[in-house]
Amino acid sequence: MIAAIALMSLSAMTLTLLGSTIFNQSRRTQILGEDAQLRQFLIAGAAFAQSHIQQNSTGEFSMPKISLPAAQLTVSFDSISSSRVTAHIEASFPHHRLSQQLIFILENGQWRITQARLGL
Amino acid sequence: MRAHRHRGFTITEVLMTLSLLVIFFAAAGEVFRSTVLLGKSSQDLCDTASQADSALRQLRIDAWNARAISVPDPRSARISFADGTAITWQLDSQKSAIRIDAAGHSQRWENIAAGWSFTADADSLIVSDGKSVPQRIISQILLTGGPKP
Repeated sequence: MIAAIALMSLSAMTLTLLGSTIFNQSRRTQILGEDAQLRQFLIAGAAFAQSHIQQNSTGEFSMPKISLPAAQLTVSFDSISSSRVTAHIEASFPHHRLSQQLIFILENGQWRITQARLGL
Repeated sequence: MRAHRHRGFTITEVLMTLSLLVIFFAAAGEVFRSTVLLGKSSQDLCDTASQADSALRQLRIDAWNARAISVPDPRSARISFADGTAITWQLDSQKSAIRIDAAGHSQRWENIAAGWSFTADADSLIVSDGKSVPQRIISQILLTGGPKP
């Protein structure tokens, strides 16, 4: 009887450990997948920022039509001087967000990104 | 007067019981050994994954702002920035990844880089471990047509 209980306890421990490992790995996979998706959004946001800065747009923009539900991408510009603009880009899911800060410099009539700081 | 008869176990019953006990304890021992091994390997896997994620996160932050990425050999990568500074990543023979910043400070992630190697293309650093899908670490500046090496 005691041996049976001990065996069942050990089996339960093994199954719990296995379940916990599988859960942790699947959670990690999900987070890494979301991270990759958010980085794609940031890259799209940078392209959006670059096209808008060429048109001398300022202010805050919400990117339209992200096909994933609950995903958001916002782009905002802070003008530091006439030849230097900082863009803040934030991509988010409900419980997960990534952002980046881009510094644009005007060179020969073209805005170029000179710094890109990823905020994880 | 009634005589008491104490019925004992036959040798067959005793042997069968002992055999069942031996099988039972052998199974219990095996399950116990598996539990301990699984617990240890699960912990090791978790630690290694966490360390590798931390190193790759730092590498992503470095590469994101890179104005040039060069790979002098598959065990090292040099990431240069617009202000002229650079960060070097190295993989040593003890499976460690080492990050050396512009001031010469180094940061080490132990036992994560078994089989890792670096390659570079136009706008990214590629980290491969020879088993899983290579990780492409992108430079936002190079990707959007910024300075090229």
